[in-house]
Amino acid sequence: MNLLEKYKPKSINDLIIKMEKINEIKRLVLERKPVIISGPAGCGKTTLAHLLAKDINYEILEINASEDRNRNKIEEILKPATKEASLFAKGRLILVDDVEALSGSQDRGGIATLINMLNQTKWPIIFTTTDHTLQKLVPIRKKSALVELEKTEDKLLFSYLVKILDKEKILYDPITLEKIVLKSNGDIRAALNDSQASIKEGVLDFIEGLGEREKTRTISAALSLIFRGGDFKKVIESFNDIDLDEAMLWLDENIPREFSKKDEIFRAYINLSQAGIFDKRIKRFQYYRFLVYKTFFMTAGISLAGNSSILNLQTFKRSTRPLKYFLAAQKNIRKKEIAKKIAEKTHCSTHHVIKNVIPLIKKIYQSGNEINDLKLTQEEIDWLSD
Amino acid sequence: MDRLWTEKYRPSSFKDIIGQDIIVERVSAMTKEKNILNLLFAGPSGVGKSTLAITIAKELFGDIWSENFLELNASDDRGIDVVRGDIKDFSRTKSVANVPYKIIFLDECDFLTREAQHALRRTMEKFTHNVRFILSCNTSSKIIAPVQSRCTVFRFKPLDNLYMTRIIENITSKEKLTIDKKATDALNDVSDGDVRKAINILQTCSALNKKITEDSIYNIVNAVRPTEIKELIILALQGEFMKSRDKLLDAMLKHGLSGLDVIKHIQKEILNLETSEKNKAKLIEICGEVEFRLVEGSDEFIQLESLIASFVLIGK
Repeated sequence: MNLLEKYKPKSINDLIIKMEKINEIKRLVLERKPVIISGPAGCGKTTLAHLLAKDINYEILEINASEDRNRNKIEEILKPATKEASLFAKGRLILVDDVEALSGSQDRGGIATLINMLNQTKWPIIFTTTDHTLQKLVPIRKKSALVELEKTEDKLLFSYLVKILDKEKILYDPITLEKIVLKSNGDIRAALNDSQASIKEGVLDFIEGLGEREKTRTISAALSLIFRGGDFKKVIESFNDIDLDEAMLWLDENIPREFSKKDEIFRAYINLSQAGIFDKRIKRFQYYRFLVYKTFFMTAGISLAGNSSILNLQTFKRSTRPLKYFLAAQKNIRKKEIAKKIAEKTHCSTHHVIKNVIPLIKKIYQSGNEINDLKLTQEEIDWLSD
Repeated sequence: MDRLWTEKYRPSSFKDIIGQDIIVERVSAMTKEKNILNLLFAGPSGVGKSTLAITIAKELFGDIWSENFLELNASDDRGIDVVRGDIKDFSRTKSVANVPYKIIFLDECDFLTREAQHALRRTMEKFTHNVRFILSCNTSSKIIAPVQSRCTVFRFKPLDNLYMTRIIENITSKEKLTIDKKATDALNDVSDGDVRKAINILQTCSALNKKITEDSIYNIVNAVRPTEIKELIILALQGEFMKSRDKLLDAMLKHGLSGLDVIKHIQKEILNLETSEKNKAKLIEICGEVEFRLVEGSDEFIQLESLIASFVLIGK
C-alpha cells in the first residue's frame, strides 16, 4: 500500500489549496492566459494543474524535467499541440513542470522556444516553479500571470493526515503526528512519505535520530538527579546532552508534582523564571556566556529549592502544553479568519480584534443581528452566532 | 446593521477629530504646507492615532489617497522581511499625486523586536527621498532611540470624559438610541478613554436594546470579560497551584490572551478581590515584579506560573 498513490486527490476539491487561488488559476486558464504557478516543493502545483485540466475537461500535455528539454524536443511535443484541437477533450492545457530546471546544455534554447510557443499557441500554458524570481524566468514572467501558492499550513496538513490515518485504521498519537508535520515543512508529499515509513504494525511510530523512548529515559535520569538530589557537580551537568527548551518544559510540568510545599514550589519557579530571563538575554545580546547561568538556575537552582527529602517514586510526566497550544491553534482557525477580515476593515491588528472586538461582535450575532459590511461567509456567521 | 460603527463614525477630516486639539493643529499645519516629516504617534489604543494618519493621507492626496498610503501592522505575525518587501514594492513607484512622496503607516511598532527596528531605521533612511513614515506605538519607550530621533514624536492621551461624551451623544442621536447620564457615565467608566472600545460596547448594547442603560453596559462588559482570571487568582490564594495553572492555560488558549494581557487582567481583578488592603498591596507588588520579568524573559507561561507560586505563598 502506497499512501501517496492511494490518496492522490481526485478532484480540485480534494486539494489543500485555498479555493480562491484555484479559481484564480482556473479563470486565467479559461481566458487562455499563460500562468506561472509558484510555490514551495510539495504544496501541490503539479497536481493542481492535472486536476484543473480534468475539471474543465482539457487534455494535458506535459513537459517535465525527466525529459530532454532542448529546442527540438519541445517543439516536437508542442508544435502540433498548439494548433490541432484534441479529438475528445474540449481543449488542451500545456503544462511545463519545474520550468526553472530548464537550463544547461541539454535544454539549450529551451526558454527561447517556450517564449515562441507563448506567442503562437492558442491553448493555455501553466508553468510551475519553486522560485519565480529567477533571472532566467524574466522573459516568461513578462508574458504570464503569476499565482503564488503558499506553504501548506501545518494545521491543515495535520488534519489531512488525520483523515488518511483514520481511514487506514492506523493508531497514532498527536505528538508523533505533529512531529511529522513540523518536519515536512509544508511538503505534503514528504509528510505522506514520512507517515508511510513510520507505520509499524498498524501504529504510527516516528523515530528521528535519538529514539523518543530513549530520550525520555535520558531526561528522566536528569530530572531524578535534580529533584531527588545528588552530587552537586553532577546536578549542574545533568542537562549537558539535553535540549534546554525541552528540559524547561519537563521541569515546568514536574515541579508541582515533585515539590509538595508551597515555599519549595515558589523557590523553584523563581529559579525557572530567572532561567527564562537569561535565555532572553542570550538572544538579545547574542552573548552565550549567559548560558552558564541559565543552566545553573535550571539545575542547581531547582535542586536547591527543595528541602524535603521524601523519596518520590512516581515517574516524570511529559508536558502537554505544546500540544495544547497546537490544538487550540487548530480550533481557532475560524476565529482568526474572521478577525483578519475585521482587522482589515478597522485599521487595527488581528490580535487586537481577537482580544477586544470578537467577544463583542459575537454578542451582536448571538442576538440575531448581522453586520453586512463584514462580508462573512455563512460558516463564519454560524461560528459567531454559536 | 450595515457597518461597524467604529468605521461608520471614524472622522475623515482634521476638524472632526475630537480631543487631540494640539496635535491635530500642528499636524494639519504640516499637511497644509505639504511638509510632512517622519512622525511617531505614541499613545494607548482608540485615541485617534490611525485616524489621524489616514486623515493626513486623505488631505494630502485627495481622491487618490489610498494609492499613496500603505498601512502595515507590525503585530500581525509578519516578519520584518515581509514588511520590508512590502515597503520596497510600495516605494519603488513615485507618488502619483501633486506631492513628492508617499506615506507608509506602520501600526503597533512596539511589537517589532530591536533587530527589526534597526532594520526599519535603515529602511527609513533608504527611502527618505520619496516616502514619509508614520509610526504608531503604545509606549514610546519600546521604540529604539535611533528611530525616535528620526521622527517627530506626538503623545496622545486617553480621551477626556467630556470629549468622549460628545462622541457618544453624536452616535446615539444619529442611531436613534436613548441613553441617560448614568449610562453615559458607565460607558466612560468602562472604556478608559478608548473611543474604539466605547463605540464597540455601545453598538453591542444597541443590538440587544435601543434603550441603553447603565446595567446593559455593565452586563455586556462583564459578559465578555474572561472569568477564568478571577478564578485562577482565587485558586492560587487557596493554595491550589496545579488547578490555578490549568485555569491559566485555559484562559490564554480560549481567549487568545498574551502573557501581558493576562497580567493586566490579574492586576485589575486584584483591586476587586475580597481581601485586606494589605494583601492587595502585596499581590499588586508581585504583579509588578512578574510583569517586569515577562517583558525581560522568555516563555511567558513560566513567568506567570511564578506569579501563581507567589500568590500561593501569600494565600496560606
